[in-house]
Amino acid sequence: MMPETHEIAIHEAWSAKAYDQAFSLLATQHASDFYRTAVRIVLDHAQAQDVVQEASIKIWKGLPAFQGRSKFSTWAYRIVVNEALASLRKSNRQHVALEDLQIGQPDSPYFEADEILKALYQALSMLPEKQRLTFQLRYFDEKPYTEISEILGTSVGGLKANYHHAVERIKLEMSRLNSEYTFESNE
Amino acid sequence: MNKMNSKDGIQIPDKAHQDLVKHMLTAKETTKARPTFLRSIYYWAGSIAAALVLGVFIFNGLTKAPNHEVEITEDLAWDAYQSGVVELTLEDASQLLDNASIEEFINDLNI
Repeated sequence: MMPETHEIAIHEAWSAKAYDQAFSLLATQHASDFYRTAVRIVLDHAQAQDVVQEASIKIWKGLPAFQGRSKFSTWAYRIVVNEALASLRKSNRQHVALEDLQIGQPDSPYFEADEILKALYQALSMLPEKQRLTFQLRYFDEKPYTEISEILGTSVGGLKANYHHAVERIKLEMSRLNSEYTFESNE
Repeated sequence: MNKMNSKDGIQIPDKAHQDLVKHMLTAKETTKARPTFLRSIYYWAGSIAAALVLGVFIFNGLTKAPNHEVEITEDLAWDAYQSGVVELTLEDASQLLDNASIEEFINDLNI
């Protein structure tokens, strides 16, 4: 089913107060995406699973009160991102020593990367939080700025600036790691 | 020159995706409705607990004097002096300042 079709199906179930069905549809379509988003933030498989679990509870409980101002998936993504950031702050993983920077890569059984992608993650870990999140949602997930704006609560203009600065910084950091590394952005 | 792909390196196989879906769906189990009898007990227990907490706060409010501590900054002190709330004679001021400060003050007046 195409994402838009899924979104319509979720909306129909929600409108009919069939929250069980709406939640199941959301989970079926987006469980992997939520995990992916979580593990890119917290960088740990078990922690990401906990984040998805906690976020799932909030999504399930929040479904009846959902305002309908955005897509269900966007609303759910926002919950996952906030939960992941809260988990990260609790665990203090962001305060990683420079020599442990390879921790900037997700510690997940599903993560497989060549040296260049690993270098990208290392460069990413040097960015401020907002820039890092903007980059991940835009570059990895190819989400439109309007959707990222709803997820992060930042203006579209601010996001474009964040992305621009993120790309410039990544290019610099990657070239420092290896002069042969280059980075090409989508835009 | 090395080129990059746009993937994030996180490849989730179908079985893992199904496990993640099941994992998400267990969220519904954590918020099951309690039986009516137990729900009413929780309601009363919650109400009593809330009343006790409120009682503690009210009691503390009645028995303790408010403890207002204000940090006296230079700006605050100057504002208080200018507004006339604080009356300070030259003698009082000279008691508060050390010799170096007094000399500086006098020199400033002579500019």
